[in-house]
Amino acid sequence: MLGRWTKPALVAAAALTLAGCASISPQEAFLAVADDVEARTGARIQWDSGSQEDLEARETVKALLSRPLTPASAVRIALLNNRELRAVYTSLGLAQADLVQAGLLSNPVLDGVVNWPEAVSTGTPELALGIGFRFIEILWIPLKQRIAESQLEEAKIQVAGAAIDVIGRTHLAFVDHVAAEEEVILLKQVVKSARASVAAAKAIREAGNATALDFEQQQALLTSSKLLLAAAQARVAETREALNVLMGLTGGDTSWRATKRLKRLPAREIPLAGIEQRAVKASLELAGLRQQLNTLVARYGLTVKQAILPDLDVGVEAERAVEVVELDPPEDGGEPGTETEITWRVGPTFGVALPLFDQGQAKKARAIMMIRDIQSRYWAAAVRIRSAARLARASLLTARKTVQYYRKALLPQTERVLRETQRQYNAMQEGVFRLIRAKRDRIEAGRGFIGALQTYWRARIAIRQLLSGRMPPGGGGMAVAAAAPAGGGGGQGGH
Amino acid sequence: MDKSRRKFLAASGVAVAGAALGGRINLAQAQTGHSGHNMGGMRGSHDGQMSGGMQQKTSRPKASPASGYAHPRGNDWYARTVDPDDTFPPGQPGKDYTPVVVPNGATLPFKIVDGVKVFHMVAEEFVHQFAPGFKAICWGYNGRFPGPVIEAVEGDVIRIYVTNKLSVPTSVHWHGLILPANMDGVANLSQPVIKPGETFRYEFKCIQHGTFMYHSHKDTMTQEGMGLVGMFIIHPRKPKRPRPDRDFVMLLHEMDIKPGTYRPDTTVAVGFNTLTMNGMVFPGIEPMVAKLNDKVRMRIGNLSAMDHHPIHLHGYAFRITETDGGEIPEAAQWPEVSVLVSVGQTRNIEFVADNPGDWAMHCHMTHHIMNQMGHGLPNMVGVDARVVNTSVGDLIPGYMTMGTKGMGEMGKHAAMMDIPENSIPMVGADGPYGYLGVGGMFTVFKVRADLESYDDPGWYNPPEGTLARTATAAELRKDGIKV
Ligand SMILES: [Cu+2]
Repeated sequence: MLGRWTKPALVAAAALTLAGCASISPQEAFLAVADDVEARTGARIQWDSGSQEDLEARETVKALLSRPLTPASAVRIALLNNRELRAVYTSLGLAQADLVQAGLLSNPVLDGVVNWPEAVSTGTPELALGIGFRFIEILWIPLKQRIAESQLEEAKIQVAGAAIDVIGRTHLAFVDHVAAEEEVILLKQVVKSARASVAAAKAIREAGNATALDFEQQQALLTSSKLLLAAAQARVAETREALNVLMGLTGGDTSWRATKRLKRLPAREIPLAGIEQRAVKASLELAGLRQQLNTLVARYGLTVKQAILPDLDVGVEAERAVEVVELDPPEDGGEPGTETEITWRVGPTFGVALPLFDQGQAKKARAIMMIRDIQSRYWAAAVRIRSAARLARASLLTARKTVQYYRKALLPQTERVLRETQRQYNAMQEGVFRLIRAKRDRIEAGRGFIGALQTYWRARIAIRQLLSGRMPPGGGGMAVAAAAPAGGGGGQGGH
Repeated sequence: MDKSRRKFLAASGVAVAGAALGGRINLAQAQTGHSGHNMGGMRGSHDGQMSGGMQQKTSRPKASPASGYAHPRGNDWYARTVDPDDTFPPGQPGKDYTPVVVPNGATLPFKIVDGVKVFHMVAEEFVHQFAPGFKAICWGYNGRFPGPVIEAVEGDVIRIYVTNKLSVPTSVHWHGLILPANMDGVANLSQPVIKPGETFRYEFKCIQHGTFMYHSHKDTMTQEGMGLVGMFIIHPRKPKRPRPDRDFVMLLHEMDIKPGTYRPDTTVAVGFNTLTMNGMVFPGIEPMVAKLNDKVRMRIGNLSAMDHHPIHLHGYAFRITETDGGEIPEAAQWPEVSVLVSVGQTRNIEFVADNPGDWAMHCHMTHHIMNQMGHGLPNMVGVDARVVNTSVGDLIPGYMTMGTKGMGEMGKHAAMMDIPENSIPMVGADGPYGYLGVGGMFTVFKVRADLESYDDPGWYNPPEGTLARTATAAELRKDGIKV
């Protein structure tokens, strides 16, 4: 028993020394995350809890809000000011603390404090037993540290993902908001055209030249166009609030203005070659699952001899059989090592004698199940990412073509239709209502163009997110629900 | 245009008018088609083939048109001055008849071969100009719409070659003529069709005199509608009355050519927007000129698709003297100021030009003296333009409310506005006292005491006290008119 006193003490001393290396501050981890996010998105996250830094951040936000908001400035504000994101950052602190905790000989000290006086007064042998237990725990410290380290890595991946999500959602909300504002401008023109029709119908009716039907038809067109406008205005408010939430704004800060127009089609498309593989490679979700596996391996004391996750870069075939190898076959023989690639390194070798470790069969089965769980989720995630990448790529290319088609074909065509209608009007071959209708068709083509441009930018954001390591915001759907069909809507005037 | 057609055209030398066949519009050709309306219808190679009607051959016709065919004699109202079985030398212009005057048109030249008057008509496609700034791809004969006037004399034996340079089969019907049934020209009833590229030969004796017409009788809605029409005049061999000094010929027709288009839409059944006299619309129509106290005859035919035209002459009462059915007995001739010329009819009116001045002559259907009138528009007459101008002008820069005061000034505006190409919507012309806001079937009959030629003498200069003017205050007072 005396011999057992000295050994734990040595180990404890060693453990304390080890623990001293791990900082309690998550700063280093955060900086690593910030670097990663910056490398992936070009945007840098900050986590300043000090009041001085807060003040600076506040000033920056104020300065950014004083100018028309751009996608970049909106993202900067969101990264500085989004409180949910800050809440996510704390998980780094928690994981860091856990890591430190894992290296501490905390239990003996703490238990001693609590139990020692009791033990002294009663003189029970529990103390010796307790020390014995803790002695074994000390042996587990490196293992616990490996687990905590891995969990810190998991946390870092999660934090990076959360930050990138905020960036993507902000970009998306911005595009939706500007598109909604453009839609409002165009629908105001639609209303204006309907007003002109009503004015003409009214004047013609007052001259005694039109029926009540002619007039009421124009009135109804005006009313329905006003309803369209009201819906678009609601959409502006919705998208504005989405941005306010993302940017963490309240009160007077919410009276910002955004840039007036959606960016026009960039001349060159982002490189789309190997988009699936690149998305898979960049995926933080997959990285997180890999890290979960690492944690699992650490927790169950496994040694991974060979990759047990599919090499998704190749992007092929069915699930690969994963085999688990038993380094130390159970003494009772058990199953032969058929499904092998993971090796058991269950517990410290000197601990096998202890009944605590059982034969390890249940634990092994659990580990295998958990590995299989991760394998399946990993595979499923990869399928989703690849699909999202293909969809985003297709959406982007289609949207680019659509935007170009609008710009090169429909917009000039409706312009020519308007001009020719005006000429036919001048030749008194067409009436004022047909002329206004041609103008409205021109505006409707403009609405279609804005819708197509919005779809393009949404697809572009989706691709950026995928290449930054996250699934596209809004579940990856690229279609714009409210895209207006060009030239549609509204019956024609009675003439 | 395929190779064989090109060759064919080159061989016949009539490449100009045929060029429009390829479907391409070459509006520059229109001038060729209609410049020099007094050229007697001779164009291009036709000059070479046809020597005109001035030959001095007087031999009697050798070829009888048909053996075993007896000239009809059953109806005594056929306009005849000689026995239909008598033979005569071909009638000579100036000697046997005073040639007709065809404003904007021409007569078909002929040559005499063995006592037979030989004509050649070519049915073809070409660009026709209706008025300055307004052209369209039409069909016609010898590059003209309407085709040249065929002029003959009672008793003439005539042979007419018809070459089909259209891309569709055709035929020519001699409207109103009394002739053997199978010279009548109804496709597939009286003869097979004239296929594209074919030349048919018609031959018959003119056994009546009067004002007749000719036109395609194959797919007539399309072919007449596209312009395959013309007038056919047969002068009496032995006139009972003195020949007129001025014998005008005018064929009425209608088409629908939307502003900005280049081809008549022959599917249109109502609301035609191009109403023509001798293929022209005002202000493209030449005035008719007469010397004071000239004996005037006007022969008016109508081959419009769907409209009859009451042609009204100002300043005169005339008599309707003939129809295409024959002469009206003097006792039955109605004095008139408007003559209704129904579709498929001709009417002769006669009078002495005893009232000098510039006299309007026009169809009295008001829509028929408009050019390219649009239909189905909102009625803008009486509408307060200001409020419409503000609200629509705000939306469409350059917008101007039109028609609130009617159409009177619209043509003048149209000339200054951005309008579709190839159109003259509602365009009229400047008159001596302001803008003449008329188009379509409107022309001016000019009578002057002193004329050196029958060229357009310009506007009439009224004698003192014969011009309507604003009433003076003194005059109103004197006559007790309160305004
Ligand atoms: Cu008429």
